[in-house]
Amino acid sequence: MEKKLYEKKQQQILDAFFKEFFTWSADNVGYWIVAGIFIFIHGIFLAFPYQMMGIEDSDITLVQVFAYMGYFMYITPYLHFTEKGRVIKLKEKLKYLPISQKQLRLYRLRKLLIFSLKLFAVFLLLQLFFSLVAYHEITLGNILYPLLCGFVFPFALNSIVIIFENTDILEFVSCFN
Amino acid sequence: MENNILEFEHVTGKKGKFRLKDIHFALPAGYIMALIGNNGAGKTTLINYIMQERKIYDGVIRIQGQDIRENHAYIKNIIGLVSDENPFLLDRTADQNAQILGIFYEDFDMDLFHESLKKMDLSPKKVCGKMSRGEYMKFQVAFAIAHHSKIYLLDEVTAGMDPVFRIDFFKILQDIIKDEQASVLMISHIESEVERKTDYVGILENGKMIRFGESMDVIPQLRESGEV
Repeated sequence: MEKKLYEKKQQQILDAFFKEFFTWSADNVGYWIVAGIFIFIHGIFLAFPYQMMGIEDSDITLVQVFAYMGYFMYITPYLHFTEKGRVIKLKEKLKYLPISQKQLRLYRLRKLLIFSLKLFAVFLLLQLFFSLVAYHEITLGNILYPLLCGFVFPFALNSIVIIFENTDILEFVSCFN
Repeated sequence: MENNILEFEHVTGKKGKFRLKDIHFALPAGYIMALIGNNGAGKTTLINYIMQERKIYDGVIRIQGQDIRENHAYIKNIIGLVSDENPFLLDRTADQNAQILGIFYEDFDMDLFHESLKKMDLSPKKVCGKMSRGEYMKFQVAFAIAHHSKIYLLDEVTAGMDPVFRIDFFKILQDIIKDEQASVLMISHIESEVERKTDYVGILENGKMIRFGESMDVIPQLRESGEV
């Protein structure tokens, strides 16, 4: 089979694999519940109109922490799982299988991007709605605030985790087990 | 040689303290080749060169005539690796591993997997992490058979097996290479096994292949020279 064709097929294979894998592994449930909690709190912050926040405001930093953690918890089951009480990198289990590491990274980035974009759409709507209700206006800040804090920064930071699979993150995750 | 399953064309490692040097041989379809040498000679490194995604060598490695670098992920569909280093899901049973990881293979046959396990007297319900070394090797062989491997890479597989099963194991290998037109490259330290059960032998020393030829010629020569 041609390489380009097989690269496309690998994305479908990964879809099927994770669907099957998550039925056997309970880790993802816990991570996604925690992700939901962080993202819910993050969403509350993003619902507050930008006019109430300032660039210097330390709440912006808090918003980004919740965003990063929420997105990180979402993507973690695609990176690691628990085996015999230890946190194992999924890529180590898949390294001798007919799947390329590049396609695995692309799959994870795609999952993160779709997730981020969906949340960004929701946060943007909330931000615009409450801005209109409270201030009867929409400013550039009402668009940039959810765009940067709700999409760009958490997506970019978590993309780095996916691309480099930093072992410090592995140690951090193992604290939850 | 025509219809070669595995070919190494002047393969030399690119980096690292230890590298393979100018490995050049071809293994035709339907034969078993043994790879022998002292500890640290480069036997497992040779297998790593085939399995690793990054190209860490100069030269060409071909499987069924195709350079493995051209479509490395796809080629792994027909490589059956059996090794302690082969990572399966240890908390899952043999069956569950086949169900979850078999998804990656184009034509993974669950019926064939179960049939192979039955031949090797291994229960599909046994958890991989609780298997003995011999059982874990049997499971991996069954897994490799199930995805219709063309080249089996066996890294000291028979070391943990009982002597009775070892005889049956080679019968299973002979059936595989006959039915599937496959070949076997096996690392072994058991001299009698190499001489009597394999067709070709390659001897590695300090990363170089110092001899390659038919087992029934090479092993007696080594014995006469006192090297084995």
